[in-house]
Amino acid sequence: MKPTSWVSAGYGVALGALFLGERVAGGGRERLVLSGGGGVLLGLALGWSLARTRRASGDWRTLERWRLGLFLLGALGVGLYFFQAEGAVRVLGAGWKQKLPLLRSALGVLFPVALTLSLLPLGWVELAVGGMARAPVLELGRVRSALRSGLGLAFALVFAFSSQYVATRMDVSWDLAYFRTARPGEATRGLVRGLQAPVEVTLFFPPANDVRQAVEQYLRELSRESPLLHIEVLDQAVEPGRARELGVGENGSVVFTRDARHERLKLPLDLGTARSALQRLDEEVFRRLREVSRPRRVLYLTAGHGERGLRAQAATALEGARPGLSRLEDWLRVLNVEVRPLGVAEGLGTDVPRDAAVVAMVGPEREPSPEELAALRRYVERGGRLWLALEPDGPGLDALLEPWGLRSSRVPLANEQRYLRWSHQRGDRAHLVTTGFSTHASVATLASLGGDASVVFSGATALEPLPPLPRGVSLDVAVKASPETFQDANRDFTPDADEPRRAWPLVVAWEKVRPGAAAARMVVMGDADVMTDDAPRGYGNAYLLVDTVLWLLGEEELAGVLSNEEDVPVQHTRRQDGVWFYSAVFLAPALVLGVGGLVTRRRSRRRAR
Amino acid sequence: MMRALLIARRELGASLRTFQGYLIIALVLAVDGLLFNAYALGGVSKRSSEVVSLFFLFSSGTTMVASVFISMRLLAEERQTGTLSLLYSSPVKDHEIVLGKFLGAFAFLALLTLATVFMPLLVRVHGRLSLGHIAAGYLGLLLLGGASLAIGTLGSALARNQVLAAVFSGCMLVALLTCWWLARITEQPLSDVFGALALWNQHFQPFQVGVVHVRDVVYYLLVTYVFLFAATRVLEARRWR
Repeated sequence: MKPTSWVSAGYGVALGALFLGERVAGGGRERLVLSGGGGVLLGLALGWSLARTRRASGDWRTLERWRLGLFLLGALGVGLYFFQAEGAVRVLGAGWKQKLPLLRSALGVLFPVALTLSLLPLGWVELAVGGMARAPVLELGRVRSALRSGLGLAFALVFAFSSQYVATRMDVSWDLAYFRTARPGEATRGLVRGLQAPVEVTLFFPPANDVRQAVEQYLRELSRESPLLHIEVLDQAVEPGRARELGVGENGSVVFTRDARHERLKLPLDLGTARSALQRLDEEVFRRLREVSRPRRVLYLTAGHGERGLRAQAATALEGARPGLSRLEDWLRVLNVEVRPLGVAEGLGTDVPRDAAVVAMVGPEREPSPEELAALRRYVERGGRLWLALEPDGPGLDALLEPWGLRSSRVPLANEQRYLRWSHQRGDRAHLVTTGFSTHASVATLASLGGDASVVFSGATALEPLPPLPRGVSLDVAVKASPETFQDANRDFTPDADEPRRAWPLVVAWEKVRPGAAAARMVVMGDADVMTDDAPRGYGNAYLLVDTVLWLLGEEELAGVLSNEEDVPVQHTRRQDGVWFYSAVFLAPALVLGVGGLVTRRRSRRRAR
Repeated sequence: MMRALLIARRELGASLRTFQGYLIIALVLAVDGLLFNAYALGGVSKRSSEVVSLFFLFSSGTTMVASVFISMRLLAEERQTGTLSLLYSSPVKDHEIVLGKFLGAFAFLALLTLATVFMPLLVRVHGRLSLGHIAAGYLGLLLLGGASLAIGTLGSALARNQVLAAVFSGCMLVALLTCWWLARITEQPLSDVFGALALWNQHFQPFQVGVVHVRDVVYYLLVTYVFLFAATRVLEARRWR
């Protein structure tokens, strides 16, 4: 007998036509032609194979039996497909899929299994037989090996698909991306240590809740700082009366209570949903604890001289765009400080309001009137707290500052070595990055963090102390630029010979002792952008602002790191950028090549010996 | 198993004794470093997790390409130089040859992949990132690399020379990668099958963002198993072809 691989090819074409008719054509005449043609071709292949099996003898008969068996297995697969697609409705009724879900699944799995177990071994068998096309006798052993090989591969595929199906159905997952419940930070611990009266913290959570565990663990750790902090865990469903008393309608609430004052923190009950809130838990707890334990203070933000406001302002024909201070406002809210505007309409021309805890003037573009300056001067002289942020292009406020021993140089600073890459243009050199902090209380947190925290100033100017200082005045350069910073007088961001380099003072903390009364305090910054929303996240700007406010409020003992576990944008300086680039693109590959060179050289030396 | 480990050791040694092995590692490091700096870190400032996610996205591409280049020589080179007959005549079974070759190549690929670990760790210096995210990403890279190597091993077993092996492996990889596209243009249940088969789209992305699904781990292990099994069957085919 002669091999008849074309029958198997016809069988394969029949299955292909059936697939196209059923799965691609969809319906109508195309389906009829493809599926009908495929069915007829399948029948012919089966008939031909049956006839050859009857006629064949010896090893050929065995081969034809195997082939017929594989054909029948494929036909069974096709039959199962048609039964589950159409036949089952006639036999078992329209709703059989709902009534017999197991049968539905079995049929859905069995027909592709039967087809795989038919087609793969058939292909292998035909390859083996094709290899013996000119051989005088059929070597059945080779065909048997091929059949086993094909069956093995088909079973491996069936196993793989089944395993993947089971794994998908019984999937378990672990989210290893950044998530950690914040732990009590130093600022919150300090706040608890300084409690003067008992504060109750009541948690309303159902039992065995993951979020409850995380919050309770955080608060228990915090309560070790002071016996005045009491923690209570309740279930709102079990204690509805107590919940109503504290204004809680459902579980997932944390209530901070001091006397009649309540502050609530709402958290989702599902850990996955609560993760972002838990990352900021320390900040939220700090804010509420401060609200119940300390009186609210007022910070007046001056207006009317082109200053930065709370909200960002788009550019107009007369003025450029100005970033807002909403982030600063958020921080001040955490510190229980309310922000109010202060302009001529609010009485700045006459006097600073009596309830002002701090007056801030951020980036004025025009000189205040003499009356306003006089009001600010009187305010400071009577123990007020003033916060000034100046710009190189803005007024120097000399009339106000010089009598107190300070002046703004009003020359922009730049640094071509240590700056924050922002727009990847030369102008980035005006974004100074510094870690030059003194030990003054207004930068206590930054000083404690050392090199781990740096502050970015954008378009800053240097401040100049004017010795001798007036009597009773002390002055501390809290933040200074890195030593290679130059005064960019011609604003080309390039150091010239006549542009001096120095560690220019960027933030100055000024204090005037008043016998028998609280000292007057002032913080002057050589940049307003350091306070705005444009300042980059992930740097120490927030600590600079918070510590400055705390020092001005006279609450410097509360300075410290808030443990915020939120993901932050990755921002790095030009120098860091260079280190990253060269280490990743050149240094590491060069090291590998160096090691490779050493190893291969040593080996060739050994060979030479 | 011991014989497979011996072959793996020999294979790894062969990769590390020649300068070409180090050159491949250096090239992959340089390409990963360039992509990391240009795209993951470049442009507007991104959050740490986003930067690392992009790093794993680009690394998955270089890992697959490196897998093709590493695997193309595994069996095709032996066949090309005529040393495959020596292996056949030694008391080593076909599956031990395939497993040994694969393990040796996988160890080299793992070395190469783990050499890039300093890049996501650099992100940790100035960002907030969990080691778990990095570990998940590298688990994904190793599983994807293992699966790609297994595909390459089959390609190498099928081909007569290394170039053909690379072409075969590349074609199979592309076919598996484009399954996600087939999944989009076909209807259920075929789209589900294609979707589940797609080598990268559905199964690697969770690792990229730090999520480990058992179904994805099982998928890559099964792809590795099936292709190594097929490679063994192709080697065995010499008996009946």
